[in-house]
Amino acid sequence: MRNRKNKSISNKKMIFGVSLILVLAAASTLALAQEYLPRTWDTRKVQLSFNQYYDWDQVGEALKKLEKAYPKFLTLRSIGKSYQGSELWYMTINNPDTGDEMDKCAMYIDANIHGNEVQGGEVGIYTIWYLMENYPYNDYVRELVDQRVFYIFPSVNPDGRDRWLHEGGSARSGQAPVDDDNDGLYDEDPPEDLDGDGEVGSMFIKVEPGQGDYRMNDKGDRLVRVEKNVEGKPDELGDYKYIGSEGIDNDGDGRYNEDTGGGYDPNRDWGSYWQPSYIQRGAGAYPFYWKESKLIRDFLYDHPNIAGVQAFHNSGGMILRVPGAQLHGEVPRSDMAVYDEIGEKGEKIIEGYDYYIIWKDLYTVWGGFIDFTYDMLGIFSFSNELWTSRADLDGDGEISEEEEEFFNRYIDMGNTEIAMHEIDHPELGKVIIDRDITKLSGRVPPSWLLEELCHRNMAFCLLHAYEMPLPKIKKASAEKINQDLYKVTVSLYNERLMPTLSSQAVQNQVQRPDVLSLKGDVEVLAAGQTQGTGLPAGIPRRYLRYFRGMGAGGSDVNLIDQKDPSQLKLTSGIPGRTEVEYQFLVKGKGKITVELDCLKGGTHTKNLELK
Amino acid sequence: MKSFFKIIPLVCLFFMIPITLQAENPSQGYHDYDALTSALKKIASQYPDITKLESIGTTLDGNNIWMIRISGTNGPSPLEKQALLICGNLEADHVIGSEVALGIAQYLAKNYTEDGKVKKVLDQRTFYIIPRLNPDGAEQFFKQVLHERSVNLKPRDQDFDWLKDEDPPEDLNKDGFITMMRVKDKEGTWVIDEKDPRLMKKKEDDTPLDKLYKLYPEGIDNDGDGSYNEDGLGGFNINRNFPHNFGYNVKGLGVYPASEKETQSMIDFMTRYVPELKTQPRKNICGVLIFSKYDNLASDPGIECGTPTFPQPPQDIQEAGARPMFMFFGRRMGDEEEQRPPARDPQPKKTSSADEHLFKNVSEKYKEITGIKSAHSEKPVGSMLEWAYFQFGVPAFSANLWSLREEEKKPAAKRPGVPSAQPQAQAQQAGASDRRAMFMQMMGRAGGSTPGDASKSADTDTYKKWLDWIDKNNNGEGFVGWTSFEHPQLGEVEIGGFVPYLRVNPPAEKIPDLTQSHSEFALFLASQFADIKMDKPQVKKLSSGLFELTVKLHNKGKFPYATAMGQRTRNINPIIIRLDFEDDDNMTLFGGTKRVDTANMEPGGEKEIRWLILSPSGKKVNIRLWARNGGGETEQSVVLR
Repeated sequence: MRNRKNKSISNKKMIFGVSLILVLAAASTLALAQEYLPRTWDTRKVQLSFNQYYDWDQVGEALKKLEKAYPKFLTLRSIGKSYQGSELWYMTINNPDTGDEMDKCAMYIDANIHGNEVQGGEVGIYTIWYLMENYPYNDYVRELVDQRVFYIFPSVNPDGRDRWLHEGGSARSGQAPVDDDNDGLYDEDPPEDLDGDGEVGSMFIKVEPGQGDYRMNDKGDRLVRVEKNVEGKPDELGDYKYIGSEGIDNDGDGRYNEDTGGGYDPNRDWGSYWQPSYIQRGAGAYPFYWKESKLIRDFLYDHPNIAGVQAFHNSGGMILRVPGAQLHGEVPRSDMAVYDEIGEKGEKIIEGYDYYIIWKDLYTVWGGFIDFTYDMLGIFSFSNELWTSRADLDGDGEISEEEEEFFNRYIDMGNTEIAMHEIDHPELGKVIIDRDITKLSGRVPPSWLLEELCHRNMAFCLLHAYEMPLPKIKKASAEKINQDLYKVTVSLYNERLMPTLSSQAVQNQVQRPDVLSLKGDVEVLAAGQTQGTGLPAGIPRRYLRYFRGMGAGGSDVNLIDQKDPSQLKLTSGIPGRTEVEYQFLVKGKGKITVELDCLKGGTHTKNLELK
Repeated sequence: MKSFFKIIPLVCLFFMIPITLQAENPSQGYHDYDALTSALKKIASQYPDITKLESIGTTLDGNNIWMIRISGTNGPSPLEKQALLICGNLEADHVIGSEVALGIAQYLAKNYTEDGKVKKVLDQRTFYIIPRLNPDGAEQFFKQVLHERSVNLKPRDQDFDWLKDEDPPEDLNKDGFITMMRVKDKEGTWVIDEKDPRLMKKKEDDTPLDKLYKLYPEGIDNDGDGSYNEDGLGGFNINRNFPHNFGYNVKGLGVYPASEKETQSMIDFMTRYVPELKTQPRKNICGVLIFSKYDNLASDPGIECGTPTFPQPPQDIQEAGARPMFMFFGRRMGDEEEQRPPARDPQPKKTSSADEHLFKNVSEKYKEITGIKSAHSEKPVGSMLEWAYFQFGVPAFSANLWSLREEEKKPAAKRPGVPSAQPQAQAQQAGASDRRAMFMQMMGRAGGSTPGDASKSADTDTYKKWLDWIDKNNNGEGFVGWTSFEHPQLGEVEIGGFVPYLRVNPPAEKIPDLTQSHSEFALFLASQFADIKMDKPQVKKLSSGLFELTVKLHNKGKFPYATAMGQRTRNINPIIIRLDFEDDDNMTLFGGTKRVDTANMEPGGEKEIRWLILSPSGKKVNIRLWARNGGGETEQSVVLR
């Protein structure tokens, strides 16, 4: 498949070149030569680095820079403000030359709903950057940008993101105040970065042997848990006691840092299979209780063109699909086929990631985001848990302690570790800070592996976006039956994997069916689907008879009994990679227009004349 | 031609019935939105010291959801006092709930200075009264044409044809009421009940075909889809929109727990953190009294959740795609082994056994105070009652105020189903376009009952009882007799049925009595809350530099500090005792912590808390007791010596 410009030029050449094959061939090689865009080793227009983590201001700057460089394709908007007043930015990627935003399937990508799970934001920025930078040179990218729309939200929890980047500690939550320790005070005892290293470590104090759970390791550079109840060994005596995370006891209740900013889970705040907080930890008082989720919900309801959802989390190297709770039951078979194909390809695209079902392979999630988008909007949705250790050096699928140490020592060069150190604590006196690591470890990759993570996960999203429905009217023809009765045959084709309506959307009645209409000064008397069409590829021929009319003399049409056959509701949409044929009996003459109107896949028309 | 002559006398009847019935318009004596608003404003302006009127939200129609706070001028601040929340009119048609709630507000405000009993309670308690949670829906009670519906006015596609509100009912016979239509039809499933020809009952196996009827709500089939009035104005029943026991397999776009502004306003009022106050100010709500169609005061005490049911999409639209076939084909053999035992809904569905006696005691007192000894109630589904107890965690009660009473029927082993809802309103709310399902619902489908139960005689019995009540207690008014009508689509039909709202709201003259008795009950309920008191702390010198500090707590109220459910939800703050030392450098605890939490104290219960303090003599210790749901904050100090 060559690019658009090539085609238009070769068309022009065809006018001159008439019928001789030789001439044509010469013309097309000439065209290629003329269209050749020199792709030098560095074509970058926008300089952005992907070995660093952006705080929310930097994210905003990067997005503005991109928008400024590619104003035709990119629009930066905000859906509103977070609790602490940050703009919730999202970038729209749309080529206006190929149609209106709402007339194309859209891929929604968000990240960082858990404040500490930052790297999905970089994947989002990378995706925008990569698509734009490569559009002129790369056919696959061009096809995607021309056929699809992208909505990219680098972070749907910028408050949590900034808290994690700037202050450290756990910042999974958004930052609306919650009384975590139920004492009537809100967020009154957050951790403090006492040693000024930008991280929140763990505090230990020296105690009498036997009173603690930790001891110094043999090398004397780390505290380790003492071993107890090991058969054949006496219990070790711990002489260091864990106090809490780094900080002071702001509210003087003897507990350290027990009520930090926020205290809820924004990914348990969605309307499908929601449960209260005593069943699902982190839920609010009702679904969409928090401002950010409410704004995103409204955005999703306003954009029925969205056919694919990706929500980035970390970590563990997983491509997760619904359902989040067993109670939901397995997804319908036909939807499962879509999930499986994309998920299994994803395992190949993203090295070391596993395609999993949330409740079965991870844990139960009630009221999760992608359950909402799948259940209540009918959108095929994945959630990737970004980053899994790359320390499996011998490739046996296991990471041994030795491998881990080797990786840290000789590859990452110990860059993510913070040495054990002592501080003067205002309340506790001498305190040891240990078990501390920099932000570039644990749940996020070391900086030098970030770009690869961005690329592979983008590639997975692009596959997802590529396989969104792409319906069209393949053929439309009319056959005269008698003086004023015609049979109009319309063939619809959806080239890609996803159906225009997921089975879940049909089952839950959450998406308007596609509408196939005949418009013109005629009367449509009846409509039906040609038997044996509409079956996805791969059905063995011998089974086709089950879908054909029973017995001799039967018609090849399954009559569709709807109120208005001139506006046929395709209640199950158009299946993926499938051609479906419809037949209409039409009374009258003249010009008619066949129109296919898909919420996910746009409006398409073909003109016909009945004569 | 014969039928033509028949019509003439019937036409006369049409004109007569409306005149007599409209004179008895059930909404008379009730407050519409404007009247309610000015009544509340009047209370607020007459008693400014003890009341505060606020809007807790606005509806789609731009109406305010009013909340009037009443709290005496003495005692702690209104935000610190323990509060009783009273709320009514969640279901649009249950207007009586708002009348009684308004009446209680008037009663409390007026009697604060006049009645010592009221003053005593108001000086210790705050009342939050939200008379009408669903003002848009309630307004339908005051329209020219009465159509009994329990929902708000949010446009909704109830029959899954992707059109909203396109097939409302019509008052065909112009009597001001939307009632029912019956039409002879050999495919029908209804037959006239020989016990009372006004009633319809399910056909028997041997019913002759020419006696069969079909039933429809009054109106025409506006959208020509063969279903009558299946998608009228609105909406959602707010008292089925709360996020407990909401059900999961919901259908339709935008259908999820607390999807409605009214529901959100209520829960926001009860739970939201207010930045200016740096707290969730309504955590002082220690009990909830609801007026709704559900009843757990005169009916069975406690709360047992019903089974959520949701409308099924129409089956009759032929699939225009072939995917279901693929689904059939996609099924691989041998997959059955994957099947696991069905997952269970983890939400609690029944009163915690530890709380049962509380509900029982209150219920007995309710019967004693109000004289209402029984009530019909279906089991709640997604109701505020369930949410308030199972998620907010406080004792929650609901009175339906008006229904057939037990004394009118013999005790039966099985309680009959819902008597109080107009059948077509239920069908509307369910959004069922499947005719059969709709008929089932029309005849008073009981909550959680299978469709088969609907045909059981219990339901026709209930209708019969209402007719008896109409005949004996309401001068025979309240049922529109079946009269013939030429329907543009169905041909000759008969229109008739219960007058809308009649079985949900009592005649206006009953309101003063209900108000009086329920005001007394509200005062009783508010005075029951836990009351946590701390004795004077005791200090005992154990040795030089070692002191034992003992604090004793009591619950002097009639309710436990936290229900068992409240403890589970963690919504109720524990009773917290904090020690503050005068000299932290020289005073330390030997064991224990400066903050001691107690999740619950039963009424009459005591608890002793002890600390060992290493300290020089003569130092001061401050002891702060904080019991959010049991009397607020108190502080005492002792000197160690």
